[in-house]
Amino acid sequence: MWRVLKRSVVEGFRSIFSHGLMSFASVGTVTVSLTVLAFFLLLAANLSFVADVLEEQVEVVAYCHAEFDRRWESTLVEKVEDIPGVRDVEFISRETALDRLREQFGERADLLEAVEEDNPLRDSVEVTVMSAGDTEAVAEELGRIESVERVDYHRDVVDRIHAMTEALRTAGIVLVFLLAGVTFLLISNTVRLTIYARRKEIEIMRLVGATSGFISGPLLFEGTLLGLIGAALSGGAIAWGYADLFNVAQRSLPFVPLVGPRPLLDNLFQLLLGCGALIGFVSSWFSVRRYLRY
Amino acid sequence: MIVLSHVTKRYGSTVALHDVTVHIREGEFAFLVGPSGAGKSTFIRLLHMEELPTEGTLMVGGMNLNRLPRRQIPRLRRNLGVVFQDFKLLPSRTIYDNVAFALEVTGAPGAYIQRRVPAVLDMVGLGEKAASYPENLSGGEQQRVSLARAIVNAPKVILADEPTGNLDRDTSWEIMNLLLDLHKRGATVLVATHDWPIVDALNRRVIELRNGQLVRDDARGGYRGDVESTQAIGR
Repeated sequence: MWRVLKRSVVEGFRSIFSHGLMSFASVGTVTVSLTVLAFFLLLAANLSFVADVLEEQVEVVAYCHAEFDRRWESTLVEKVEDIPGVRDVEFISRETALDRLREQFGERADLLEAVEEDNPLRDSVEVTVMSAGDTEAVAEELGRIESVERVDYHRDVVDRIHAMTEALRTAGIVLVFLLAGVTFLLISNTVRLTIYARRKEIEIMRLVGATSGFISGPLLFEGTLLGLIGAALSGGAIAWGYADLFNVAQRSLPFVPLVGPRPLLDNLFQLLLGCGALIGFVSSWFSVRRYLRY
Repeated sequence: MIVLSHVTKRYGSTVALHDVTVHIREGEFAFLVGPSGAGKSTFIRLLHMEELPTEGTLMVGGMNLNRLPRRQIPRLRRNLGVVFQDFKLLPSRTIYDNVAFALEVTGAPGAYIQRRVPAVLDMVGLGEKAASYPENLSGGEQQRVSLARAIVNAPKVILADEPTGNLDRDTSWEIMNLLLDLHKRGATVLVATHDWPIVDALNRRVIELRNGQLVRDDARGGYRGDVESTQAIGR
């Protein structure tokens, strides 16, 4: 077993160099296809991130009765937290609400003097939801709580955000799946060509009594290695390009939401290596099998 | 050593061999003759299980090929030395590596390979060319490499399919003399050929096929058996 493994590695390396042009072509194909795939993965990740950012801004506010007893604050918050689809809950006292108002008025805060003696604002609970689609259900549940008098949210804005985030996510997933398919076909075809070019060699090995494992071991290792090299190259190119883009965007367009390079790029790099190795191995296995009849 | 009993091989509706029964004993030297398309190659290919018979039974070196599982085909081939008309050498490997390869597949220890390969190359007169590549050798030299590879595992049976088909007269005789040498050392040798001067000169056992049928099996004979077969061949 050890011998077969060792031989596969040694012969695999040897053959990559002795079939230099073919190896170069395979690595090139893997690199280019995975780079395109990675580009769209990053695009999809950012689309989904934009969707998240948009959704985080969806807020439902539940206003309490005027007679709300502050002693029940924690009970209220717990009740709200128990509602499915709720991401975060914050209790806003009437005083805090007034402070906020004052901040918003800024220099014209003097206008508030009239109300400061008898604060007309209500205690309230500000709720953010997991997904824009949950907003309506959450609002309904909030309305059922005794101490809540009125529930407020911008229905039309929420509906639009919801539609948009769904579209963004779907587009990302469809793009990635399409490209993953194309990438697999491209790479496996190249690996198959590499092995097709060697069918004579494989035939001769069979004729002198080489077992299937003896023949396929080095070829499988070679295919996997070519996939890995291509993946590493494309991962490097993408990481370098994205980190640069991110820095430029941060400086000149700080309001555009972009996913930070870490840990995104680390995950992407691992994913690419995994894909490269897997595609290399699987497609070599399929094509080797065609020339080994037993 | 080699037994075919009522062997038929069909490719679709084409009959390559029809009801052939032949028995070659251990240590024999036999020619398999006949015009192109007579079934000589199919005969040889059946013996190293490159093809499976449609009907009939085959035994080689004590192995019943009808019952041999596919996984065991490599084991059969290591016990056979096969020489091909087109040499079938690996172009990207040196002469040494081409011969060593047949030993490597058997899992032979490296030290043994390093002793055995030069010895076999010396035997076929190519000791000096171990580091060359096949493309730098003449046809005759390439066929000697192929022969060295066939015998490096010391097989009891050697099959040669038109071994002199691509070679000139003198070179053909060199190869044939090597095969005779191996026969003298005890190997069972079967040579498929239409190289009639050699068959005539050696006067050995001759098995003749025509249109897939066995038409002659003489203990000693030439390429031309009787007048009838001569006419059929067209000479």
